[in-house]
Amino acid sequence: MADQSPKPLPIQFIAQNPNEQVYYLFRRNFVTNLPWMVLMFMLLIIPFVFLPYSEQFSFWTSLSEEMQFILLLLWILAVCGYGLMNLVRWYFEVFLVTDKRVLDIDMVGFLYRNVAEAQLKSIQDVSHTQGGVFQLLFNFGNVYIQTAGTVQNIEVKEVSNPGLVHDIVTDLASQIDG
Amino acid sequence: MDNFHILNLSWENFSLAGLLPNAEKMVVILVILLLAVFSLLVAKQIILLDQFLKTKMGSYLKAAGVFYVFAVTSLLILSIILL
Repeated sequence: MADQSPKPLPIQFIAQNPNEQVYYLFRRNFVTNLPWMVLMFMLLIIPFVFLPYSEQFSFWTSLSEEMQFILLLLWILAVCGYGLMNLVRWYFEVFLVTDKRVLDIDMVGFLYRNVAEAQLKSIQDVSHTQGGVFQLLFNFGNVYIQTAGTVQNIEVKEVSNPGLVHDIVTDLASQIDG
Repeated sequence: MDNFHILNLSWENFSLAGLLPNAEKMVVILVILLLAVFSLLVAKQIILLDQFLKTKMGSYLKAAGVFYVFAVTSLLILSIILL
């Protein structure tokens, strides 16, 4: 019979206990990045589309060549900054499942970070929702983890395969409960 | 007082306008300065997040953040020189 126990991932986080092992790491489905990626691409090509017709814009032609060059670089760097910010946000907004607890790292905007954690033994109820064309097409949705007492409930947003995440968390929680 | 007029000097000629760049250049430099401050915050946030969750990709993102700060600072220096 094959070993069904989850394998630890080579991931470390700052609040990890000495013998704690990370079993799963989930993040938002990559498709959720499409809106900002499309916007970034459009913003990047806007100057190059309009530059051949720049003579028609009196504001632009009234600027010196140095100013035009600096403004173009400023635009490109600002758009790249927007892209970097969104990429970092997607990469570090994770939901970790260890052998002892679950951790959810959320970012509101870019400069505010919210870390919610719940012990597996305190998990009371897990549910998930999946709806809408994109969520059904790309198989992602939200998972809600209800915990006992005053501990903050955890909401894992737009995670891939929410049914599987739901199953993993309930299985691990029931194993801890015995 | 007479010498002052003979040399064609008047208080109207003493102005900071010649020393400071004009308004539009100042606005551009200020916007780049704001972007530089923002880039520092982005880089710092990436460093903190990388400390929180250690992964290989995280260190690449950290390098990208540092490079971004370098790029924006270079633009700031370039704008001060060129404008």
